Amino acid sequence: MRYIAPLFWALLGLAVLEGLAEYRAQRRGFQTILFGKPITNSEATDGETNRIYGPTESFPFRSRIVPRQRTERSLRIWIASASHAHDSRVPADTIFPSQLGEKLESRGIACEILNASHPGDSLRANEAELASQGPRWNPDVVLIYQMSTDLVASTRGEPFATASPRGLGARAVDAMDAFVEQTTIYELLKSNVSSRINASSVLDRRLPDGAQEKYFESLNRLITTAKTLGARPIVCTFCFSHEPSNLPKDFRLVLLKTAPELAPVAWFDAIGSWNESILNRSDIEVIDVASGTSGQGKYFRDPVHFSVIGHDHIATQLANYFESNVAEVVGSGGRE
Amino acid sequence: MNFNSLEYGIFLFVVVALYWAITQSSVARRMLLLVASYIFYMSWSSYYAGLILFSTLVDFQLGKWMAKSESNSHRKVLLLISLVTNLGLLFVFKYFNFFVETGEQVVSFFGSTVEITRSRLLLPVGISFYTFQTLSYTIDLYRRKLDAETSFLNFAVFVSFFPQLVAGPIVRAVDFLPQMSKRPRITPTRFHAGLLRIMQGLIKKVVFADLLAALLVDDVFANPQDFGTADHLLAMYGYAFQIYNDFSGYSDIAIGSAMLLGFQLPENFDRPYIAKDVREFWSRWHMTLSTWLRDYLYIPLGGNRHGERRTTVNLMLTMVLGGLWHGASMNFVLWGVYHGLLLVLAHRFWQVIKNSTVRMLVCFHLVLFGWLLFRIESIEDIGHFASALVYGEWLPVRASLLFLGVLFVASIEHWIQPERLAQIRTTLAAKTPSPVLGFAYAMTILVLVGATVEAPSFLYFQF
Repeated sequence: MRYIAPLFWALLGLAVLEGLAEYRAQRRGFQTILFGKPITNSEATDGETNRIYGPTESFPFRSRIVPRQRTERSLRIWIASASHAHDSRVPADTIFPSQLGEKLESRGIACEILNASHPGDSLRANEAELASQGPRWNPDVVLIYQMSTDLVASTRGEPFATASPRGLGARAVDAMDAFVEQTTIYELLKSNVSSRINASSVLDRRLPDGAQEKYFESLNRLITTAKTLGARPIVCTFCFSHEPSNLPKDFRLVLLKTAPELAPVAWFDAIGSWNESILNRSDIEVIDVASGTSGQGKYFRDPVHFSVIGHDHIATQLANYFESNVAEVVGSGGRE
Repeated sequence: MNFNSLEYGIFLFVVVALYWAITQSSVARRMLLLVASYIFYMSWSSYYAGLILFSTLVDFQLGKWMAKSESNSHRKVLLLISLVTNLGLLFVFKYFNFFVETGEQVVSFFGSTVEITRSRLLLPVGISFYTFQTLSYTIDLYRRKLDAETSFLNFAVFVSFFPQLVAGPIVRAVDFLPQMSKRPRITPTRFHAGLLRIMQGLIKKVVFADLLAALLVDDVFANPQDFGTADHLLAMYGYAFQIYNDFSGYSDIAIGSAMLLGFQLPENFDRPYIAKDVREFWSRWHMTLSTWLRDYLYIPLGGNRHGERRTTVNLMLTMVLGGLWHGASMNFVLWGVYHGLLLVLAHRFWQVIKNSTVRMLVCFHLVLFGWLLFRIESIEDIGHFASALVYGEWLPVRASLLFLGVLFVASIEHWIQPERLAQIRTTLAAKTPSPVLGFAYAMTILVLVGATVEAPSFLYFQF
C-alpha cells in the first residue's frame, strides 16, 4: 500500500486542485472539462442560434446554414481564416463572418457565408480545405484573413510540414498530452508562470530568416487555388491590438504563451511589414481592415482576436467594401 | 522519448508496473526489460536499434569464445575483433566525416586538393555510451576480471538497459551483470527514494538547466554581438551550471528509474565545481567516463609508471581522446587538449597555491574557460567571444533578475553533499506520511509544468 498511497494522494491532490480551478474558471466564463460551457446570456443565444448556424454534418462551416446548391443571384463568400473568424468564445451570430452576412443582407445584397475557419488553421490548412471542399460549395469570393498562425509557425522548427503518420502508442500519448493541455491547471500555469518566465528571457526581436517568404509562398498558393476554382480571392490586412509600448500586460502574456521566444515588438514589426507587402502588391485585391482597426484596444480581447464590438467593426468594414465594389465582385450573384 | 516528457512518465509507469507484476518468471521480467529498452531506443531511431543488437551479438559471442580459450594470443585476437568492430562502428557513424574534412584541410595546407565523399549516415543516439559499455565487457573478460555471461538475455539487457542507454552513466559489466542474476528486491522506501531522485533530476533539468539556457545563455552564445561584457560573463557562469544540471539531472533520472526496477547504477557527479584542482574536478565530473578512460586507456598506456615525459604524453592522449569522445569536432579536441594541459600543469605546479578557497576559485574559472571551447563550435567564434569578454563594451545588462535568481539558487544547490541529499530522500521516502509525500509529488509536478518554457533535449544526447 505504501507504494501506491503517495501516488494516489498526489493524483487526488491534483484532481481536487483541477476541480477547484475549473469551478473558478467556469464562473468566470470559461469552458472547462468537468463543468463544460459557462451558462451565460450569450450561451443561451447560441443555443437558439445553433439550429441555424453550423457546423453540422452536412454544413461544415461556422456560419448560417445554407444549402449546398447555391441560391440564384446570391454572393457566396468563403472565409479562409483561423480562430479570428471561428471564435468559439462568442455565439456564432456574433462573429464577423456572420455579421458580414447580416449586414450585406440588410443592405440588399443577397449573400451566403461559408466560414471555413478553424482554430490553429494556417494558410496551408486553408488551402487544403478550399481544395477539398471548394468544388462542392462553389464560392464566388475567397476572403482571406490570415497571418498570426503562420507567423507563430515560422518561429517553430517544422512550421509548414504536415505531421507524419504516428503509431497507435504515439497517438495515445498525443491524446494524453492533449488532455493535460486542456486542464485548467495547465492553462493557469502556462498563463501565469511559463509566460512570465518567457517575459524574463531575452526575446527574439525579429522573426527567423525566410518567414515572410514562406508566408507569401503559402498565400500565393491559396490565391492560386481560389482562382482555379473560379473564385475571386480577396486578401485582408491583419489587425494587431496595440503598439508594443502600450500593450497591456495580459495581452503581452498571451503573445508570450503563443510564441515563447518572440518579443511583442517582433509580432508588431512582422505584421506591419507583411501588411505593407500585401498593400504594395498590385496583383491581388486587398481590403485594408487593419488601418481602421489596429491600435484600438477596444476592438480586441487579446492582441489578435476580436472583441464583440471588434467583430462588428470588422464586419462593417468588409460590408462597406463589398457594397461599394459589389458590381465588380459579385460574379454570378448581386443585388436582389 | 525525452526523460522530461509525459511520454517517458507513462512509459516508465507501465514498465515498472508490469515488471513488479511478474512475480514468477525471472526470464519474463528480463524479457520485459529488453523489449522495453528496445522500444525506448526505437522511439529515437528504429533503424539504429539494429546496431545495438549487432554489437550485442558480436560481443556476446566473442565473450563466449574468449571464456573457452586458454591461449593468450587467441584471446588477444578476439579482443582485437571486439575493439575493431565497436570502435569501427563508432568511427563510421561518428568520426568519418570529421577525419575526412581534417584530412582534406591538411592536404590543402600543403597545396594539393583532394575531395572525398562524405558519409550521410546520421549519428545514432547514445552510440558513444553503449560502445564504451560493451568494450568494458570484452576488455574485462580479456583481463580475466570477469566471467563470461552465459545468458544472452542478461547480456542484451546490460547493453540496452533503457534508463542509461542514451546518455549514461556508463555502466560496467562487472557492476551490472551480477545484479541481473539476483532476484530483484524493492521496498517502499527504496521505491519512493527512486521517485524522489527522478523528481530531483527533473528539477535540475527543467528549473535550473533549461531556465538558465532560455533566460540568457542561448541568446548570448547565438548573438554575442548584441550583448555587453557583463552578459557574456553571466552567460559563461550560466552555461557552467546549465551543463552541470542538464547532465547530472539526466543521471539522476537514470539512477532513479533504475532504482524503481531494483537496480543500482553508479553515481556520475559529485559537486564538480568545488574541486580544488583539475585532477579532483575529473574525479567529480562525469565520473563513469573519467574512470573508464583511466582504467581502459590511461593505465594501459602506462599511466604514470614510466617517467614524467611518458606520463605527460599519456595524459594528453587520454584527454584528447576523451574530448573527441564528446563529439567529432575540433572544438572538442581543443577542449581535450586544454584539459590535458591543465592536468599536466596541475601535476607540476598546482601546489604553488596554498589557500584552498583560492585554489577552488582558480580551478572553477579554468574549467569555466574550458566550457567556452565546449560550447562554441567555430574557432573564430571562440575568439570573438573571448575578445568580447576582455575588450567588450559595458552595455546595459540584459540578464533578468529571474536569471540571476536561478543562477544563485543553482550555485547554492551545488554545495549540498550528495550523501546529505540521499539521506533527505530516504527520510522523506521512509517517514513522511503518504498524503504529505503525495502532496510533495503533486507540487513538484506543478512546478515542473509551470517552469517548462520549451522542451529541449538533454545536451549529452548528442554524444
